[in-house]
Amino acid sequence: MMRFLPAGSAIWLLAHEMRLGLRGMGQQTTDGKKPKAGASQVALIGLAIFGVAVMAVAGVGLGFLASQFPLPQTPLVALIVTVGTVALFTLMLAQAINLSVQALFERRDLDLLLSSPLRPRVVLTVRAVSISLVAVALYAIIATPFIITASLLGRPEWLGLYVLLVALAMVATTFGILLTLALFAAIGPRATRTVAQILAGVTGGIAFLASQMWNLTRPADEDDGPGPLYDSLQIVLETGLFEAGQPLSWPVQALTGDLVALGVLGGIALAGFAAVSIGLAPRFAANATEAAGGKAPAPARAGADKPFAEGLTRVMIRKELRLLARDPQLVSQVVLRLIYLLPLGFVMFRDASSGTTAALAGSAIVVMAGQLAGNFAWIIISAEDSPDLLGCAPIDRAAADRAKLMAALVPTLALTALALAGFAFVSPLAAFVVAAGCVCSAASSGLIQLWQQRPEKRKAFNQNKRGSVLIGLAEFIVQALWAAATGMAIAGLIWALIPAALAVVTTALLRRSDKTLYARERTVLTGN
Amino acid sequence: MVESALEVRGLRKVFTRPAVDNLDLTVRAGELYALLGPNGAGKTTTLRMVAGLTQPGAGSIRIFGVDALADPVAAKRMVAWLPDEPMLYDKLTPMEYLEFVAGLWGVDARSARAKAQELLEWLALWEHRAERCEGFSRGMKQKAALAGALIHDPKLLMLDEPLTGLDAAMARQVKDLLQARVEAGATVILTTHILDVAERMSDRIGIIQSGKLLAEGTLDELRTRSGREGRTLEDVFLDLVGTDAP
Repeated sequence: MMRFLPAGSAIWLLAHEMRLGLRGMGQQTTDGKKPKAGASQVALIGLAIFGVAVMAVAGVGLGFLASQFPLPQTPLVALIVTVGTVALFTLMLAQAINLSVQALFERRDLDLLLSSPLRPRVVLTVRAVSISLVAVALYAIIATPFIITASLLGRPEWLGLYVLLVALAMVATTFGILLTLALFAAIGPRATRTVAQILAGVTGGIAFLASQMWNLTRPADEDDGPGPLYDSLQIVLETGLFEAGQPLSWPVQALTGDLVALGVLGGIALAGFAAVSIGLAPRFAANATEAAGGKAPAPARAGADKPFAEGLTRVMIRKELRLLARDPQLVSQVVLRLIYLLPLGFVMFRDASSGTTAALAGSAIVVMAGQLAGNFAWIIISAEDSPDLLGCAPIDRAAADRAKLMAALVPTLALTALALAGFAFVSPLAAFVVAAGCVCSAASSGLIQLWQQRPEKRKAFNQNKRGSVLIGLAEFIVQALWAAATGMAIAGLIWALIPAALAVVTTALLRRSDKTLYARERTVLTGN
Repeated sequence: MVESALEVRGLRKVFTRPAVDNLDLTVRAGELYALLGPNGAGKTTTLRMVAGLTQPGAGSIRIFGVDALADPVAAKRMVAWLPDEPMLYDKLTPMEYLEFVAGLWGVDARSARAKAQELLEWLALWEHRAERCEGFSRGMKQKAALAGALIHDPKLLMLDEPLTGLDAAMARQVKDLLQARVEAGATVILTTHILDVAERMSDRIGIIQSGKLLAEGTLDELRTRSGREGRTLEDVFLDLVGTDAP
């Protein structure tokens, strides 16, 4: 397609970006290799087809309902739509921050583009447009069956949802780029990358936590009324801020086909987008050049002259812990993945004095320990940065991997100990049972990662490409079984032995002998 | 009789096509052997098999008499492998890297610490010992990796394109270091596309193409074989491999 576009134009460059983006997506799904028709491939395709089918059916159903019942323009509906819009914006912002960091630091073609006769403004605009397109794509695809159905059945005003989505993506992109450039100016390229990506994770987490506000603020006892959130909403509605015509009601007005609201939202988004693309192009070019011009030397570390450690296990653990400690971005990714357990944990801790809830809270900690161990073990074992160095060393690979597993359990147990300490404060006796469950769950997850290891790059973790989906599922099942066993043990049920036995059997089924494991690893490493 | 540092017999490796095809190779102890060949000739695959990183399809590998396929750990103790892409950890300092490598080869911690200091001073990296490798230039990374390869005093040192990306001063330093290792009794095998280096440094040269050994010997022996008396290694090489320039 590119050959039909005027070379060097913005649209030509955008087509180039889209081509790279599509190929990148292809590479993510196939890992850059020829896809094999294995069980996991078939399962993934099946899951994808099922997901698309559910989305389409739900979208068509909702579209049909929307065509029959027009959206009421009450302050409560305006409030709900605005809150939904803000939540969606937060998710898009998280994605835009990530993409802006990638545009500035991770794509290696900026030197080429900025040394060409293309103007930096064109380069930044195109990159900003492609960030917006990526940010909006998923939501637009999900919304399409709904929008098309509602529009075809007599409610064309729902097409305004597309405008709202695109406007949100543009504003998110504007803020994403601004934030990245501001961080760059304030703390330099090295820290920007880490801080921005942590910020993106936290932003996404906030959206999730906000969606759970109702559960978080709901009183434990239903007799205490609907809770403080409900009371706060009543007060907000009484202020009149969500009455028709007020700025906070623009999102719902846009969805009901109000051209003025659509124009205002679209105009604000476009103006901000253009201002950033045009106004900040020189700074973007300067930052990109600085970022690409080589990494600044890392600060010298104290303790460089201390004695060397003795023995394979010690040096291996020391090395792995150093690498983890110096990659805060990676560690934050691991910890942020647990944010989705927080609302559950919070509600359970709140009610932990009751036996049932204590069992559930203990189970949540056991799952957390397993998740941490699985993630750290994957990073340390599968995502070894220098597999060739280990491959040509005169070591027993099984012993080296056992040392790596121990290294993975160190941060796992440290983080789990924090949760356990909180739990022990509420329910001291049950904390012993939970601690045992945590050790079992972490050990099982670590062993599964050890036995099912497959060489990967560490950066794949940030792209949510942590190994096989089926192995991940099996790992989660084992964690859930240990969680169930722990919960039942806290409740004093002898039946706890059944899920515990199932967890042991499932873990054992995933075992591979050292001979199979290391023969396979060698084949993968050499690309044969 | 001179002991063989490396004896390769009937070595074969097939990926989509044969990368190494029934290769016989002998490297004598205490010599600097240059393995030359055009791109894709099978040099790196051969050395990776010797280093224990790639499993051969057929053939045998003996390192100082030890069967590397039957007892890989014993063989690896004597070998160091330095690929063209340094096997470093960006987030470790050179000292931490050397501590790790010494641990892998089971070097006593105290003597490893002393050896690390000696190597880093020799390679002009001592001042940078507390900085992470991620901020290093390619040449500095190559030198840190070289220090890692030498920390356990290997009897057989194999280097794949060790001079790529180095400036003249660094390249000179590395060449001096390799000569010193050979004078100290170690055996060095290197691959390079810089034929002048091979011509000046190596005791013997092997030329490989399409996974097969085309010719082997001292430069004079190769000249005689190609009928190009008094010519450079480049002329001889191009004669032997045809139009495939290095």
